[in-house]
Amino acid sequence: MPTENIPPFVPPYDPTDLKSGHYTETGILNNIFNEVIQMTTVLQDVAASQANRLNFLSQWQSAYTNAMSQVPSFTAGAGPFSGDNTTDSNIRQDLNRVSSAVTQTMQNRQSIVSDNAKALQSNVNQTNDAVNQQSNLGTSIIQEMSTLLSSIFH
Amino acid sequence: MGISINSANALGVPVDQPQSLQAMIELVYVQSANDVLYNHLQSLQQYLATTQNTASVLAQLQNLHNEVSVVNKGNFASGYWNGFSTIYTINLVTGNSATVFDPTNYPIHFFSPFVSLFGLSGYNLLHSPEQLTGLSGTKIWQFQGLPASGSILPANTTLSFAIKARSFVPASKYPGPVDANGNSQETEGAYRTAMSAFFGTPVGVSANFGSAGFYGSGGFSQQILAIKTEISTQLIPGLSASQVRLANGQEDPHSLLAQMRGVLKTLNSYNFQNEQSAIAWLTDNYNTAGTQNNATSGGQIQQQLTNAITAAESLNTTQTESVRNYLYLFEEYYKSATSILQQMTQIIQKMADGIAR
Repeated sequence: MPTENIPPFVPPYDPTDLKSGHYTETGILNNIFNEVIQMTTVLQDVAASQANRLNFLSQWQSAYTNAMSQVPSFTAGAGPFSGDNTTDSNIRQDLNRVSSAVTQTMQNRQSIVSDNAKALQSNVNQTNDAVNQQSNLGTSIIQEMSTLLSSIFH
Repeated sequence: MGISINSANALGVPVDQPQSLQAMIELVYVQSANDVLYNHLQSLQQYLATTQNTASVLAQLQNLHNEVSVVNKGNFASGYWNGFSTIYTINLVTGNSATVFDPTNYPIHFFSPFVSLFGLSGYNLLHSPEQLTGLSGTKIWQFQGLPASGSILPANTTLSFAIKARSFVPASKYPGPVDANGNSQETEGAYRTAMSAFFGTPVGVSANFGSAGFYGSGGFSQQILAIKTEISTQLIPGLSASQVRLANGQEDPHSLLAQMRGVLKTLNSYNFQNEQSAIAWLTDNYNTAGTQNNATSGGQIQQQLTNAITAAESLNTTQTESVRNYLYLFEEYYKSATSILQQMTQIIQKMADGIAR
């Protein structure tokens, strides 16, 4: 039987087939979903970089604490100028006043570093919240798509 | 089952091609939804990508800015006290020796915890440094493990040990002139000077430049220059395109665009091909005495980065809300199409039931 006379098989036109018309356009939802997921990763990177900065600030505060622990104090009975006489007592007061002023200056500096660390910690928390929100958005997109598919093919 | 109609549709189906009313709803009605969503989501996708790239660059920039470490102040005692010096040498003829040593004759405030013993290795002095201060008159020095009789030492053997000490107050200042109230101004002044020299400056920071170094391939210089180029050639133009301007046509000074312009301006004020300039960017004025009490200079670069990151997160939040809005629209469109189709199916079923009777 000659086969050249048999017309090729043409599938019947399916008017409900979205593929030929607007598949590309509806694909934008997938692109948006990908952007949302990628942004979750980027926000996690941001949070990590800020947390590293926090680590540095924490070490900085610790260095101030170490330095402050080295400030000498003068007491009666032990150490230099420890005598009970008036001269030693007055010198102890003078030197302790200097020590106190030095300690206060360093406490102020440490306090500024501490304030910076607290502010940055707040930003890290904010970034972590943003990561969660982004993740929730990705989840809700998947759920909505699932719901729509269920209702379309119901 | 369906109601067939003849009409042209947006998909280019021939006019004489019959199709069901359900198909019209599925294709034309839903197609309209797709068109509306696509037009809006396409630009939103670009904005999301720009925000994402900006946040990514800011994370890289923050990581580079983190390439610093704390420089601990070290030991005050060893670094700023006057060096050890021998203040007294005693000759020992027998094991236990009584000698005269009056510490108040010496400008010593803190004795070294170590006493050098020449020829007496293995024996320790049984006095703590504190016990050595404030002493006067005769002092019997005792040595751990040395018999009281000194029988271990050959007769007529001469040994010696030295007391070494250190002080942050120069000898000339101690005890210093005493005023009418009994205060030693010079001692206090010398102490203040020594304290100021060590504690007066902030705890410093130093630049690290990471494992790749500064000039090497993939080093700090290359990385930050690449970031600078990306901000100026891609991110700022991209953000500018998506920027919603204020009512007066000006850019919002709190927007991510404005923040990135500020970041770029700061980066441009440093020469990142020069190591010293990069160090200045990294240390962020933290090393300058006094600036830590002045919030306007110390840590300004870090603050700018933090502000930019916050702005990026805020913009992303706004954009994700837009995504939610369009998804809601999309969902409602499709739900309404589904509802119409269900109602039509019910109508057709009723008609079929009526015909079958």
